[in-house]
Amino acid sequence: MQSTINNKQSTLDEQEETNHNWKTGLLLVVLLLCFLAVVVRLFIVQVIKKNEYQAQARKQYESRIELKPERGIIYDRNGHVIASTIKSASFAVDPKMVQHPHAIALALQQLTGDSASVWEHKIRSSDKSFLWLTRSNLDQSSILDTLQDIGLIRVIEPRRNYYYGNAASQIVGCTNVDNKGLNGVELALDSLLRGTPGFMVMQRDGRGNLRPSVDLPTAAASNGKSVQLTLDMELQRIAEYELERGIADAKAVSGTVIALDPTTGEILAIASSPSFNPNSPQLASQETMRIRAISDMYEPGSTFKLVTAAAALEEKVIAPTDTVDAHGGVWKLADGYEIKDTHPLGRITFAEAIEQSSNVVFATQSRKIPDDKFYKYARDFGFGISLGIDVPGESSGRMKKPREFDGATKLFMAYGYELAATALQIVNAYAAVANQGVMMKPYLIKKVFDEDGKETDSYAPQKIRQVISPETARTLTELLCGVVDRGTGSEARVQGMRIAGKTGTAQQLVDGKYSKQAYTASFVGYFPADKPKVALMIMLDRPQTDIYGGKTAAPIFRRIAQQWISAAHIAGVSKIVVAEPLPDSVAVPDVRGITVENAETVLHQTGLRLSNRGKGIIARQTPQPGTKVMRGTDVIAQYRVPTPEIKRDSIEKAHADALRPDVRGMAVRRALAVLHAANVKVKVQGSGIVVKQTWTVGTKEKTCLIECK
Amino acid sequence: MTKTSGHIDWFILLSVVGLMLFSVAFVYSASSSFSMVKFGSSEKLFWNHALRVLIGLAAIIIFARIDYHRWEKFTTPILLLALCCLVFVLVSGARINGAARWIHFGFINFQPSEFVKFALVLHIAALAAAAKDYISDFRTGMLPLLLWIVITCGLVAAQPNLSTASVIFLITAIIMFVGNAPLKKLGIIAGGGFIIAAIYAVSAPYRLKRILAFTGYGKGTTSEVVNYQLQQAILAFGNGGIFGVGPGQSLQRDFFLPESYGDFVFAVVGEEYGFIGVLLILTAFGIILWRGINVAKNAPDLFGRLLAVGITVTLALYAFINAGVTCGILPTTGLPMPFISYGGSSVFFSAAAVGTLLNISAQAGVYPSKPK
Repeated sequence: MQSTINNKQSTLDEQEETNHNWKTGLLLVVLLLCFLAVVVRLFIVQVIKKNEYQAQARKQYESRIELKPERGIIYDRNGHVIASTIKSASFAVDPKMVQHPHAIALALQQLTGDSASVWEHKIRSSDKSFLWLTRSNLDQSSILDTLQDIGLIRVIEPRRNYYYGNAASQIVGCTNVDNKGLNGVELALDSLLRGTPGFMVMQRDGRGNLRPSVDLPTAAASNGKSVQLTLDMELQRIAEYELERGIADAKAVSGTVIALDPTTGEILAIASSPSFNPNSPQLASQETMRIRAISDMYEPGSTFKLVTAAAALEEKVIAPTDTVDAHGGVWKLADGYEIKDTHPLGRITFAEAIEQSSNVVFATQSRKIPDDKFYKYARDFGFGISLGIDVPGESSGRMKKPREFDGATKLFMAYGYELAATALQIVNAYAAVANQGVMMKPYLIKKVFDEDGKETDSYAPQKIRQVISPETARTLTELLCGVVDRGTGSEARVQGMRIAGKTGTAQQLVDGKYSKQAYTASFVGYFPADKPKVALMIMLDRPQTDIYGGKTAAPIFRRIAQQWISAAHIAGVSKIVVAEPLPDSVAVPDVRGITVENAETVLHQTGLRLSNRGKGIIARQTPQPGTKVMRGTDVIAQYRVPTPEIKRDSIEKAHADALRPDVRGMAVRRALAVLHAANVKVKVQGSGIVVKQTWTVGTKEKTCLIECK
Repeated sequence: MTKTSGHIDWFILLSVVGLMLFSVAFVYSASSSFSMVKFGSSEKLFWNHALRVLIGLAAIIIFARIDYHRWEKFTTPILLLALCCLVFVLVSGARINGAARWIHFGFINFQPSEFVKFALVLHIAALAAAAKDYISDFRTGMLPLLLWIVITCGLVAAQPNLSTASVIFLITAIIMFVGNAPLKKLGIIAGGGFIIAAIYAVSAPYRLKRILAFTGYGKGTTSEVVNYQLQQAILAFGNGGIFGVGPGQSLQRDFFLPESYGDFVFAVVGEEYGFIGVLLILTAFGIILWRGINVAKNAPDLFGRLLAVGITVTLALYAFINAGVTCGILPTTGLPMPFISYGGSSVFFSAAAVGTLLNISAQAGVYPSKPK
């Protein structure tokens, strides 16, 4: 209806119709011509001149530089920095701008060992406008720094520094020059630690130097998160030192130490030897990068008797005081195979059988436990399954299922053969006994912090299962204390504290036969026995001087336990006087490329001192990085005032200059980094967390006094 | 709802829907880097835009079903509402790049100039249609229209947004031209408008610099920035060549090309889809223009005709100006490309306008359902 009315109201007569038609027609033509103009223009740009523009775009793309995010810090459980990122210099050239390619090539020859002519050819023949010469992992960039050449580009890049050198290197892992985690925690948490890169477009100034432009787009990098591990680096260092010493004493091929807190499952120390230096991963072999305690499987031998004893006691097929027959040390199986004991024993109690580690008794007693029951206990103790630890490379071990058992399988398993386990699985089984029969999930990552030090994630202990009753666990602890007090583990005895533990000496399979030369010697236990704080396992591969775990691994256990008790303030333990004070050696950290303030902090944390202060950044250091020295040694540094560099962070700096960053509440290291970035001179009092800061502003520089607790 | 006398124009609908759907891919590619850096997720702006496109499609359907005659009675309150929004923005609005152009309604950011431009088109079309018998008389015919136009353009220009004000002025002049306003008087008005705009242009240093930069006489940072943006856009087009570097492969969008997902998204399309791609987009706008003018010609009444002309010209002019700016044949202004650029207000109001145009097309009988 409505439309009819409207049509009537404004019916268009013929003259108007023609009038409108030429006008709308004109409109259409004019606008289409406008579109045509755009099409013509784009045809010129995209079809006719496309090569020219494509070349320009490519050149421009090459002048884009990625801004690396700062990788997060890795802390130990007490907040000590294990790995952090410091700034170091890398060099690149613009081959088109370079003036003295020969001089640069000569400098590079000195640095890298590659011949100067190769370098010169590389520089001259490159058609790029940006060519990396050295990345931060190279030593001594200082020679390049002395060259004056407008084609030489100095780039300040973050470099990973590992303050504890080889200690815990396999667990912490390392990164490559591109800030990517290669192994360990660095790999497992790479996406967290890495952060997101930004970009900056460089512009060429009149002299041909690349410099960031204020007008051009910049996207700042967002820094990675920091993580706190459950490791205690003090304990870790002691463990590594004693492991090295024990391996040397026993002339073993390799070894591992793993310690965890039985009440929480937190891994306190985990060492594998031989180890590598994460500050120069390119020199390390794959062999040294393995976390042996979690990746290597072996037949555990006598340490596995814990599982057999636990099953027998829990199922009440035997009591510690029951008398058993050890068959004089040899027991013949139906197929002619003999199970033997090292020392022939007659009729003894079950407790004595554990103390003396009688294979015969364990094999004979295991017959009282049904196959599936036996299997269930082994499984509940965590054998044959992965424990799900939070670093890559965990092996789940191997264990036969009851239907795969033949007549002798259980008899052999009863004293630790015909199955393969990792050191982690063994120590975790003992930890379960220590923790009143409750098995905790072992873990390594405690907390995650964001850039500003705010906690974003925290991992609580996780209970896996109740494996055995608290009563059985108590009985087992008594039996294991007997092993140390009276039995094969007497070498692990520490005066003034009860230690529960078990030795293990396992023949290794070499070419399908049990060898008479290749043994795995181990000792595993926990202390203090009545209220365990630490479960600790030592494993040596192929010791030569003595094959027995009680003779080679147990002393290592004792020495580590002794020092930990005095170092770690284990509650409820009377202070033990350490019999043999040990030289405490540390690896010298790499302080080259950083300023005196940073170097002092780094060295202080390692227990070393910087002997001389100077201006600029450190060019050389004595002793060389990685050298083992005594704590308290002086490190002598040579300084160098850097040549003008490209200031990739000049914009941020300009802002930061005007600021007086508030660093209260930050850890000293972080506060130093922040204040340093803001061009502030810093004086530090105390250590720990910054509680107060006082500013003194002069004409040329700002000084900030920070007081810490 | 009034019964329409035929089908809507499928050419227009298909072109618009095609542009809107492709814009989702364009904006995703062009915004991902920026979005990643700014919001920590490369898909943030993409999801925003996809949602807006969905709302836009709904708007097309809804507005296509509303008889355009219904708007005729409400053009004054609609325009007044739009003007109130403009004033509100001037008083309290958010400033983006130094200009007050936005209103924040909780979670919706709303750009009133997009609203105002269609509101004015609607109002002028209604006024000119009503005054068709006496439009040649200046005082009774043209003056009232002119007053509305001057007020609206003045407020838009005060934002300050001279380019939008000028384009709105041009669009209304075209509506009056088609609406039979006397050519001589219209010429004088247009000349006057041009002079005012020119004075206004040189009154603010940044605009003068932009214009100087375009003509190649500028110096200093503004000139560098303007030329930089344009140069980067041209590089994007050139880098794309005939067939483009492929979807998602743009190099230029990674911070070389500012606002790559907004006013300069056309350049990213040119880089990723090449000359073929931009030709297809321009063809789609060409079809909308051709069919839109066709709808206007066949509209059942003068209001419908003028409204169809206004809407069609608005879309085509915006597309042309955006494309012209990106490829460097027009001076730099911040006008979005309808349906393509990232921006909720632009997508929604353009979609609503197209819906209205489709309603006119149905009544124009360009596609009669039954032969008459």
